[in-house]
Amino acid sequence: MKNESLLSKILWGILVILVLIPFLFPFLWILSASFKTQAQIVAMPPVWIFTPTLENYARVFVEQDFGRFLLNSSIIAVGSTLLSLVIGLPAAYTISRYKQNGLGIFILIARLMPGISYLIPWYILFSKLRMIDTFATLIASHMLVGLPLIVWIMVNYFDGLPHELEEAAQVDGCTLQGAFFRIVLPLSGPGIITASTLSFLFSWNNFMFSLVLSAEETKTLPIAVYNFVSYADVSWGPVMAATIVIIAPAIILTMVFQRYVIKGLTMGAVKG
Amino acid sequence: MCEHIEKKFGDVIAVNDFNVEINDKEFVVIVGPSGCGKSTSLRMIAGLERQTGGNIYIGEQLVSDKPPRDRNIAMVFQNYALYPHMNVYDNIAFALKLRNLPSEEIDRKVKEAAEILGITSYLQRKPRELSGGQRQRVALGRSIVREPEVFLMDEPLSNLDAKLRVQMRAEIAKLQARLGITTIYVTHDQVEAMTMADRIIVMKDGVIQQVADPQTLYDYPANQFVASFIGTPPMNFIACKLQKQQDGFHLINEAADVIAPAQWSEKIAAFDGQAVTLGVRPENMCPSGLAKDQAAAIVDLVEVLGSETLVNVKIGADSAIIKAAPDYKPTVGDAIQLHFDMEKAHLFNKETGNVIV
Repeated sequence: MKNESLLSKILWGILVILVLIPFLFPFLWILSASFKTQAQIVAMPPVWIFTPTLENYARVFVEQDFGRFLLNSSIIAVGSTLLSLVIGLPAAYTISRYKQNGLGIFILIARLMPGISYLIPWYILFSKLRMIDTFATLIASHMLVGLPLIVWIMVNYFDGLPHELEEAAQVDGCTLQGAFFRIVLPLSGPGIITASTLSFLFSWNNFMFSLVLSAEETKTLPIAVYNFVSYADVSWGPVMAATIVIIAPAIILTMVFQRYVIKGLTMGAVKG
Repeated sequence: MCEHIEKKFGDVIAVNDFNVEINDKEFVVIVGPSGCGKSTSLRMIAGLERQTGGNIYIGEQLVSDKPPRDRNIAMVFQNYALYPHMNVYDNIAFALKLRNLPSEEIDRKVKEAAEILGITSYLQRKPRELSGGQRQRVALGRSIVREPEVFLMDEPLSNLDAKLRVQMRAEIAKLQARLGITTIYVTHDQVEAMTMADRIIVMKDGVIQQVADPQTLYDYPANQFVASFIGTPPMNFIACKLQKQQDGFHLINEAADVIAPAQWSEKIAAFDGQAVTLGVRPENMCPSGLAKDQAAAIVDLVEVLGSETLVNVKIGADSAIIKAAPDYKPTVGDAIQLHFDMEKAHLFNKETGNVIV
């Protein structure tokens, strides 16, 4: 028995490592490259032992003003997520409670179409409105993904909440809206956090929409990375450092909120 | 109170012509098999479901089109429906807070309700930290603190274990009597209905079968369904034919030959020669010492309960259960003779199931 469990532990470990390699290796490579000089990065065979340099990060923040891009990305990601929540939560609740599945699918169509097909109409529309390179435009465009995502996650979440809770609240004196705000929303924390995290990450990582619709004023991080790519060469060190700057908040966010996505928060409401 | 209310889901009629007046302070139980429309009826009274026809009055007030919050009702749900993110205190206080009562008054009322239900010691706990019985008490507390005009209870005890159910049953009945609040209680358990109700509404397939107090329901069922639904073990039914002979009306089949009581004659005269169903409760059938009595039966199964013995028998093609004294111990396969207490028997129309006598 003991041998068997040891063997299964080893096999399990190998399996975990095998799965992790494709995910972790590029990340580790990026991380190490961000502390190397250009020569070290392109050296063949690869340099494994080196003296780390912070020069790449200095270039990212001093030369290129990444602080502002960081702020831009944050404004757009937070803005589009919040607006999607404001619109998406009541929408999802309505779809869930009134069984408006057709409406749900309609919203999903926006997500089924390739995002790139929206870009040309958007570009024409927003340029006529003189709204290219404004936060409003970018927030609205990023909601194309954030909103359906939030609606679909939350429809499922609301479906899972016991209906009796809202009925009890209504009998207790709430309007339907009151029941939504006082009972349903406080119980939807885990769902909202999950949906918001995904919506935020999408916006944070989005390249295509920002490439077309933003310019100097609202340039986001993924676009800014391109500043290190010129016709002559690619400054790999700063690119990697910039990449780390982009990835870090996403990773931190995911790790922090993962802890909050606790299942079974509704336990005790109905049968426990 | 309910005036011909009706509920259709598409073409399906879930509740048809539900027409009942419930008196002030009365404890009314709606009972019926699952899917009979009893919960739907309750939900229409609560305003959680919109009726497709008819009117609902609470007191003098027409409430048909009012949302639940304007009906001054309180409801206890089968699943308790406690707000999981609030502690017991806040659960009970929720409705009062919504009405913007001063906080000292809320505090006083919540503590009073908690006192009545014996839940004072866990007011600060969350619902998930409570047992089923405790949760049920909290759900009751949430209702009584409101001092509503009507309590609506939708199978509140069905998630509890048998012993707790009996205990809570008595507590709810006592509580209702003490508070004197009109209560409509839905259950599928006829024992609950019989023990708690002032009056019982028996429903089947969305239609009210009979409205009566428990004893009347037991003694004078309106039809075969009510007769079979109320009482454990249920009433026995024996298919037979009504025949007029010189000494009066006889109920005859291959195993039985029973003379109908003389006072039945007038009512059953019209059914002479027709197939009818004789209904006799288990306690009104007893094994007979005579060599030939009203019915011959074969013993199928003997269930010893200690205080009494239930004997399952076959009377011709029909199965029946008789309640016998504990010292009566036949063996399976025995041929026995039965005697019916015809004064307490019923006769049903075979086609419609309606009672004849």
